[in-house]
Amino acid sequence: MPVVTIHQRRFREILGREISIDEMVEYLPWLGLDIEEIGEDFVKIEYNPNRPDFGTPVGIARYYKGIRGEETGLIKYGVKKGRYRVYVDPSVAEVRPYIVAAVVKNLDLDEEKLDEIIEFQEDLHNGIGRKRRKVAIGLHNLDAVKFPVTYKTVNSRFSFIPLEFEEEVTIKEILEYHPKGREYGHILSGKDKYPIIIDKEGTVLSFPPIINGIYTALNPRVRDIFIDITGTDLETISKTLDILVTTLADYGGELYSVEMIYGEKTFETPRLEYREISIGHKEIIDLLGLKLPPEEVIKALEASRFTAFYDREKKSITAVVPPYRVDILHSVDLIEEVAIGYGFWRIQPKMPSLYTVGTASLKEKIRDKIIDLMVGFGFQEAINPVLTNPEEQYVKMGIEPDNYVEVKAPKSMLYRILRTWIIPSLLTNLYRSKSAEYPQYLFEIGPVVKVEGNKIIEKEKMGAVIIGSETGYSEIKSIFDSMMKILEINNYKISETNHSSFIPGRVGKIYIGKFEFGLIGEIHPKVLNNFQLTLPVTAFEIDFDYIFEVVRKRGKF
Amino acid sequence: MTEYNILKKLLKTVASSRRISVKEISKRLKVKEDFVRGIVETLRKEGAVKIERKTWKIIKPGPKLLELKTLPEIKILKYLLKKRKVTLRTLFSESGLSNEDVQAGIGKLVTSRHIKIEKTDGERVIKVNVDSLPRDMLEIEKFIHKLLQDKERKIEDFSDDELEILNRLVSRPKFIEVEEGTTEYVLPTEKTRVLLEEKIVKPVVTRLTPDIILGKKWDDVVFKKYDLNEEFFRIYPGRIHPLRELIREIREIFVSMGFEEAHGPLVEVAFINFDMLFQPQDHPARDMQDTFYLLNPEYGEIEYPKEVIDRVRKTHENGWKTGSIGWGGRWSIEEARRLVLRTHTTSVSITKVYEIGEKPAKIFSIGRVFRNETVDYKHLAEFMQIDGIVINKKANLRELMGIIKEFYSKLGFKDVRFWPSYFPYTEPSIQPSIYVKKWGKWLELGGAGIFRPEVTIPLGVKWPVLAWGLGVERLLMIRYDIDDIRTIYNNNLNWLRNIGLKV
Repeated sequence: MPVVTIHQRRFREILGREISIDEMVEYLPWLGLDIEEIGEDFVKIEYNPNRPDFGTPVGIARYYKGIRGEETGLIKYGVKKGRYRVYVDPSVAEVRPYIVAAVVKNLDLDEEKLDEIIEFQEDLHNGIGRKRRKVAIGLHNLDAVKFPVTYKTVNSRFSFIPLEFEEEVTIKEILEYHPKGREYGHILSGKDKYPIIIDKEGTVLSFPPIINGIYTALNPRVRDIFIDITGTDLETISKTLDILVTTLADYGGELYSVEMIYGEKTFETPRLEYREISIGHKEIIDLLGLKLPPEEVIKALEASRFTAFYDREKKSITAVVPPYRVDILHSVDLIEEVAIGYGFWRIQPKMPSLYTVGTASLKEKIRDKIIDLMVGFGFQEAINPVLTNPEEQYVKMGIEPDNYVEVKAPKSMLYRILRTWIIPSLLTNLYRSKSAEYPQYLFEIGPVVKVEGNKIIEKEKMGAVIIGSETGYSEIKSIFDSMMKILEINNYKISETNHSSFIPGRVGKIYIGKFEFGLIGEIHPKVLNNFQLTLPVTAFEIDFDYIFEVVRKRGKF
Repeated sequence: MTEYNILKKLLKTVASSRRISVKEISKRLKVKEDFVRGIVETLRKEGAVKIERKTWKIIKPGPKLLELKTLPEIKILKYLLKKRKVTLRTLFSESGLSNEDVQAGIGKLVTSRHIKIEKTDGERVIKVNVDSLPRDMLEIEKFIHKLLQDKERKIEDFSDDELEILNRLVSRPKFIEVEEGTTEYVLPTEKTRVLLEEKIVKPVVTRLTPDIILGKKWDDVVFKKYDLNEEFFRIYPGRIHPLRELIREIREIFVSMGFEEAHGPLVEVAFINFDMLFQPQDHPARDMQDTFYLLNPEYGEIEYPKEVIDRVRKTHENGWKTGSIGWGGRWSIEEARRLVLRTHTTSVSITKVYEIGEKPAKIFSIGRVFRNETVDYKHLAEFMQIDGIVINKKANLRELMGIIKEFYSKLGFKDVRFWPSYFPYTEPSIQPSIYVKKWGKWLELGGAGIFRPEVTIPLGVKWPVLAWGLGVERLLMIRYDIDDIRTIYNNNLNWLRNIGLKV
């Protein structure tokens, strides 16, 4: 989740009053912000991706003032009609079809504020912009731009001076060598044309979504800026522009519109659309479980920086949603705003009114009984991850791989397949327990996963291992037999089998009729060696689902 | 004779003598010395007797003395006194002594000048210088006579003169034998008589035998006392895993609160894990960076009626009839068919919402979930989650808070707070935090909320559905002060065997 650092001094400046770190730590969470770090003179917060408008201290203050009752209700952002034009060449449709733009004037920035804005831009790129794939933002020094501006495509031999470079390079070179080209070039992969934003005099503003040109670069002394936003979805880039310009307006900027000319079709941006959403009063108070009269609801919505009206006839509340609140998708979203505006700390938990009878799942009950049985035999229960690696499951066990499930792009090579049997997990546990006293008795009932054909088969198995100088087939077999006596499953037979994880002649498959119930035997010394174990190990692994079915069918009486 | 009787007799014997040796007791009681020693030793620990150890030395005639009954020089001198003049040759043949003894005796007599050997006419003749046996020899004769008569004598019975003779004789091989040793004397104490009179003295037994049990002899014996604080050895019982213990507790709490337990598969189609939960298809959480997608098989079947799939699609694209504007863009069924390792047990909850429909229900599930994380002391790629839902017409936010608060309170966390939060599938969304006293801080343990209409309406449910997903491992970390989350799944017996009991 994105992070914003709020300096105490900066927040004081924005709020226009004294504020302590303690107050910030206490109230910021009530806005839905996570306190990430508390410094001597700053608080670092994490904000949720649905609220990109929280990307600057200014954006947070807008909401903070409302919740604290210092400034409530809707903020009206006005846009003056600008005489700026952007022509959109139809060729961009195939590479990056949409562009919107705006002009913000009379900003009084300094290095700190500019840094806040640049970070905000990055957060927008990564969140709503999906790492620039959906949205790429360019901020330019307005004075360096000669209108009209054109958004068009060029070929890979086209060259200009990008940021961080001193001489002209081609698009191809940027994609191959420029750090941003290497990072974001994949978004344009497979294209033979590339989007370019260029002004009347041929100055390149930007090669979206990769890099801007050098001539229109921002610095803290720039007062007027031109914003371009390109992307794959007009709705998303328009919303992003709304979020960005309303924030810049809160930084003191004046907003001017830009005319976007898509051939025949023209429209002005930013849209700064104020939407109206209605919801029944009863719906709100029912869902919250709070008996708030309409005026309280309206007051709460105003604290959340909306303007709201109550319709006595329809008994509904209508809220006006500011353009930066892109998270409001549904009238239900207003309900949370009521709760936050009302003050989350004031909402008292209550026990539910619905009476029901509780039941644990039968499978868990039977599992618990079998676990207790094994514990009674002196075994320690283990719980291992299902995620593991083929080395443990097959290579160290000296067998051919089973039909296992593998995941894509695992971050750790240790966790990249799902186990198909449990004994290897337990041998790894024994390896980790080498400094513990012997003998050791370990078991696990847990899931294993296989692929059969194109189907995923999830099963539960029980594995048990014994390590110690005295253990042998007779011990593990005795435990197994004794357990089966208690389970009253008597019709099993063990037939000798070849299994290279075990000592030949000391391993058998356990059959119940024709059903292959499990495996029992003494682990092969070569396998022990692979797990760096120096004492004999005996083991069995059986089908827990089968036991579950047998016990379940038997019933209680 | 029973052990008890022996003990009584022994005590009587000891009490009636000033001191008595173990050997003597053994003789009188007609039991083996070792047995006596065992009882005596136990009595001594009780303070019922005292033991004194005395060393002793006994003098016995050696084999040579038993054979000759005297010293060879005395025998020779006596013979010579009778004959007066004897040649050496005659002495050798007639004295009745071995050549060796004759030589030794002659040597001694010559040195003491009692005799002299002269050469006359080529013969060696012995000349005796005394008329009778000298006094010292008479003394020796007397000493030998007494020793042979007594057969053995204690060293302390010898007079100083006798000791001097003894010293001389000891140096001559095979004439004298000296035996040394220790005698254990048993002495009565004040307690001896007390015990005897009070009749509380009973045989001490170490091991309880069937004889004692069957013969009902438990009142006739005293069980040997042990050092009760002695540490013998550790025994490692079979135990359930601490995580299982916690899961059992959690299950018990939810069952006691009226919840029914549910299960679901670990591998799901993205449709269930994400799309039904209104997670936009381009949501960062659906990225391969965070979610485990399957390499083989890559796609699965969406086992839902076509109309449900269609409603979900429309809801994503434009909100369908849910009152939402949706996420916009195009919804891809291909994407929804991708198989994932479930990233939350909310997959189980949402399946239950569909199965149950608009009927009052309270469901919970506990199970493994997966995230494509770099595993370190704080993060796991696979861990447990508790999920729950309440489907009810009147369900509300305060009740959701109430359930979670009650759950944590039953686990022992009385301070629970709820902050606003965000999840794509709930509205309102809350983040429960518990106050951990021993850490002195608030801890977030999951998320909760009310399923959005975009989630429930496509499944035919208009009622509010309260939902939550809470962590398990962190609770265990608090309970056992675990600072590395990986410890939980390492199954190292050094850890598992030494975990203390907590409830």
